[in-house]
Amino acid sequence: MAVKRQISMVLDLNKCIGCQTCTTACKLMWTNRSGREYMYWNNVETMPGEGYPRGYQKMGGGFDKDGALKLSKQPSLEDYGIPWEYNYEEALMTGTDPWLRPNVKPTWGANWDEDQGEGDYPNSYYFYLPRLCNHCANPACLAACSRNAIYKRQEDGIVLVDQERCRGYRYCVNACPYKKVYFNEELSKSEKCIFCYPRIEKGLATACARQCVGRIRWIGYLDDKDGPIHTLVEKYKVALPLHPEWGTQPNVFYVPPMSSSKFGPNGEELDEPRIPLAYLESLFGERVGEVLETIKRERKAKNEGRESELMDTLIGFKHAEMFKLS
Amino acid sequence: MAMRCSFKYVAALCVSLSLPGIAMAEFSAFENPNIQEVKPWDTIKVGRVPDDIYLRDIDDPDDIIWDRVPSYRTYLSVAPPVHPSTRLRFDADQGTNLYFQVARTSDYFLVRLRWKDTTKNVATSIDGFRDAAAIQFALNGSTDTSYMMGSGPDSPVNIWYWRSDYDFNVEDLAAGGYGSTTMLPDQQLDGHAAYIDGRAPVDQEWHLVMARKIGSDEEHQIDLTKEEIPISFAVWQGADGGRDGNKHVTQGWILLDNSQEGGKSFDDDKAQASTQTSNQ
Repeated sequence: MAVKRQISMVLDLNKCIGCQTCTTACKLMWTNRSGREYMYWNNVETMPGEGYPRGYQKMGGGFDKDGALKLSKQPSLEDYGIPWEYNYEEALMTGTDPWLRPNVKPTWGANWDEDQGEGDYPNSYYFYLPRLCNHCANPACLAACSRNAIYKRQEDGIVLVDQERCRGYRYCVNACPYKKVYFNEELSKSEKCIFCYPRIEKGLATACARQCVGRIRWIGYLDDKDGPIHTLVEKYKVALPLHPEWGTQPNVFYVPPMSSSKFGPNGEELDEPRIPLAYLESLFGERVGEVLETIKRERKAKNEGRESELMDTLIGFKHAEMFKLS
Repeated sequence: MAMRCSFKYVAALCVSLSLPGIAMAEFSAFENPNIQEVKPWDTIKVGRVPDDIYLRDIDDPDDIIWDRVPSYRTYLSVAPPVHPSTRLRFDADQGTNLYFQVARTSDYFLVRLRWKDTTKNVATSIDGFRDAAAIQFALNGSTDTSYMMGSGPDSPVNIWYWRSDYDFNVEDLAAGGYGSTTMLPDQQLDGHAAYIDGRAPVDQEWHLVMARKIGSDEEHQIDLTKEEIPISFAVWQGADGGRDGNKHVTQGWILLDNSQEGGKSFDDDKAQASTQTSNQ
């Protein structure tokens, strides 16, 4: 879907510490009320893991090789996690309940399997994967909406659900393979990440990016040759979309994570990364190896005191350089 | 006057009780011979409720007056998919029967629908869909208008949509083709439904009445003074993921003969349908 400009985000997974500050920033701004309690427009999940909603990678959706929409499982509230509240009043104020406890028995939730990962000590591994709507160039949600209620803005490619047109059919929830469209029970309409467009329109970065303590996020326009997105995605080609095989052409890109070496049976370092390359390729496509080599090379250069535009960009010295919104 | 009204009402009651089985046994294993089958393109007469019959609520789905209005059965089949998403349906179920009655008072136009539903779905939740039903009218009164949501902005339809999940649960809509359904600025409908929770699953059904004042000059509101009005129906089964095009529909228009014939009331019509209706 051609738009005049496309705003994009790059996230460096080597820098994400899984602190959920982005998740909290988003939730406080957009989803802590009015039927959105269960939603995380931005979430950070531990990989390998179930993700949010649980098992979304195996649900289906997106497009097949011929470009036709694919059927998906409709996630249940249990897959997202039933949101709970605490009895602060009773436990902490009136003292009528001796225990501070949730009002539902939690059995699952976003980030439930935090830090579990895979592998056996000393070769266990995991990394964090922050996810938001990919504001795809070929959005499956948009293709699936029978009411033309979903549109992609010409000026920046942000994908939005028109709340006047939406009648809550949830084909979009089904079609999005990333499961980043959510149904609001209170309003009977579907909702999703809006890329903080009211902030973008004022030249401000999204809440998740601006609040990120690890400074892992860059925002800018794909076609802006002076901007960080072009540098990372087009010039050095170190940022890759998540699950490109799903056919939606995401505009959120990830710098895949490096990992330390695996240990052999006698504690010796092996010439093999802790996070299997095949696993990363299953997420970000076949270029992962090439990208990791580039980062390794540029890291070495910086280490040896040589110039590296790529590393200077990835370090993210100044917010002004990380977010280029004009 | 009050005495006269109540006398008439009791008289109407007596007559209704003497009509065997209209309200009692429609859904028995045997098809009720008092309910006529109507197919698309058949014409039926709009029943008339005399002015001196008191309706406590205009949209009471089980008002006893409905025992005195002719009842019809029509077959709703699975709507054909018109958008890729409707091919994502989970289970293209078989068709279903809809029972309907149409009547008018001097002021109001009333449509009553009944259909079998063994699963009562009255919530629109992340995990489920609601039961719903709709009545569609061709706004220009012509059967040239597509019965599938109208034929573009020049030949639109007026849709009365009932949803089971809200208290204020009827929506007055217009559409001119697929995907164009739009809420009208002026909501003029009354509507009320009751779920009949019978002893056996076969008895479980929705009863629904939707009503509107006959006089309305608003754009996209059906002109209920017309002598012939094309009408069609849709039912959504929440348990089957029913919404949008995942519905059962009339595959064509049923024509309502809304002519008043010199003030003839439905007392004269009794439970007779138009001769154009096929009686099966």
